[in-house]
Amino acid sequence: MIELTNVTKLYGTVIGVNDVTLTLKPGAHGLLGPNGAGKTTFLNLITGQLKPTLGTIRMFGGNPWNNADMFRRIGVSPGDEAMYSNVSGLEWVRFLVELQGFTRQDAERRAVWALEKLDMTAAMQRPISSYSRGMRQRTKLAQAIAHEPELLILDEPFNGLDPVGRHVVTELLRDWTRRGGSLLVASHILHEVEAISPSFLLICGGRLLASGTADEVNALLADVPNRIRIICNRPRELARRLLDEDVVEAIEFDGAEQVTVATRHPLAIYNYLPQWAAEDGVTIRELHSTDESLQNLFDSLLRVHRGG
Amino acid sequence: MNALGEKTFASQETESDAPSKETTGDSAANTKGLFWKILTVIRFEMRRTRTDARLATWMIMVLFPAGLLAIYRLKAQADPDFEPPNEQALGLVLYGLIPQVVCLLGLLLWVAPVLQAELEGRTWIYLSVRPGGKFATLIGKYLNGVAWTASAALLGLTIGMLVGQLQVSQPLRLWCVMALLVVISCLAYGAVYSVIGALFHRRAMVVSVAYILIFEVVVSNLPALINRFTVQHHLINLLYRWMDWKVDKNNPLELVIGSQPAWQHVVALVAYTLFMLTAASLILRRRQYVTSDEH
Repeated sequence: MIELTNVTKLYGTVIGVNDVTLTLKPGAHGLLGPNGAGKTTFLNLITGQLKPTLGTIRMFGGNPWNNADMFRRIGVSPGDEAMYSNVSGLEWVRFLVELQGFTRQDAERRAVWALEKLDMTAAMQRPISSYSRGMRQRTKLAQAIAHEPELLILDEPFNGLDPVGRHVVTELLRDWTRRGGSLLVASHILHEVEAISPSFLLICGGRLLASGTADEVNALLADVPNRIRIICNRPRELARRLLDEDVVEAIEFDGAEQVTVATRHPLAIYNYLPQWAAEDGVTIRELHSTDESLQNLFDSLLRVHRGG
Repeated sequence: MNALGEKTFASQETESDAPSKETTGDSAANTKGLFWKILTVIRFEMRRTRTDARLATWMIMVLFPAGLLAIYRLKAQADPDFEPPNEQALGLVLYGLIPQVVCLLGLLLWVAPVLQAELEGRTWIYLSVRPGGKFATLIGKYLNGVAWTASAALLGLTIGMLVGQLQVSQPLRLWCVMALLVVISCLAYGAVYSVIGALFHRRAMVVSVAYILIFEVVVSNLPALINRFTVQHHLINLLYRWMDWKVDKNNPLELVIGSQPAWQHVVALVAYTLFMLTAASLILRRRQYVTSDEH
């Protein structure tokens, strides 16, 4: 479905995507990366908005640039929230479906159907300028699905959605993939993508750092040192236990009640902690995995990628 | 019929109306050609651009020449010694006001910045990921801008001639010639602006003004072969041909009014317009327009 071979995209001297090679088969895929990682550039390349500086891209077997056949087979929801403000959601979606090649009547029915799927029926006659951020996001998704493409390409589709909106979109996308539709979702939030896609591409600094299932990515991360900050009443006793079990790379004390450990075995520590707390009378008040943020995770992967 | 058609629209079972991979849409309906897509863009743009601000600008375009001609008439009535200019001079004023100033300004506002507006508004991607979307958008928006401008110019021409009560021997003929020149002017200048908009999308209006000043004002009046590559040269020649006017000796226009028949000028302008639109379309096809901050 999607094939990239040594694709690099340069904006002058700035690298947008750096030597990416991958093949994606039909199915659901998550493109994960922090802000500025190159996700949007990647999506612009595969949707034929940008040409690669180096390398080749094949979408459904063809070059995506000005490829009308491919445009019939994809639905795109960009990350930007910009839309025309003085037309209604229905008018806008209908217009875009008409541009897809449908008659006015078919386009109208499809637009109504898509907006209904996104819970936008009540608001679809209102001007877009009156929409909330979440409503705009749902309208954007409606225009992407309305012509029933084979592949949905969504950039940050959960941005601005309230919990109900997230649920609606998550269910819609799950249903979409269950029925055989393919999906590529770009996001900087792991759990959003986890909910709808079993396969991940991790991108940072324009590089494809890792790919695979959630388990495979976790396995890859097993050898990456994690930092855990623990606030407790007896940090030195806890540190001794950690050293005895040989599960830490380094230990730092910060004040009388805080200890930060670097470890390649975070899960082991999480398993031991309740037992040590009970045996040594340690009261753990706070526990932070400082590598929980996706940014740190990607920094770790980037270090691995560079051989650091 | 596909799953969408059967279940969603026929039996209203919305829970099972997910996309069907066996079909690609509403069968043969999904084959609407470029012509229909252009009409779709025109219709949508007509609706979308019908804003208070644009209507106000349009009204100013209509009233601007009429106002000037009304002042001319008041002056003529108030001054008993007023000597009306000759027919040719009046026609040239009308030509300068409407097929030139009104059309150029209207197109500058409504054709030159269309791509810039889409890119800055970050809505270009929605159009460019549709089959034939770039071309349909270019032509549809161009024709929409031409329609807005031409309608203002034609109404302004009509009101202006009525209000000004120009003392010409063949007012209807003058109106018809001016109306034709308005249409040709809008189509040709709109095509030029489309190219400029596609090439210099960040400064489309500034470059358009520079183009007008350099080429259509200065170069078009040079007594050299190069002036044939300007729209103005052909328009003024058409005015003289269609009105059967002769250029007086010592008239500066003597150097730019040629002897070619009118049809040659029409063919030149049609070819020029088609060439410019083709060029704009090719530029759109080839250029990469980045609409996002993320690199």
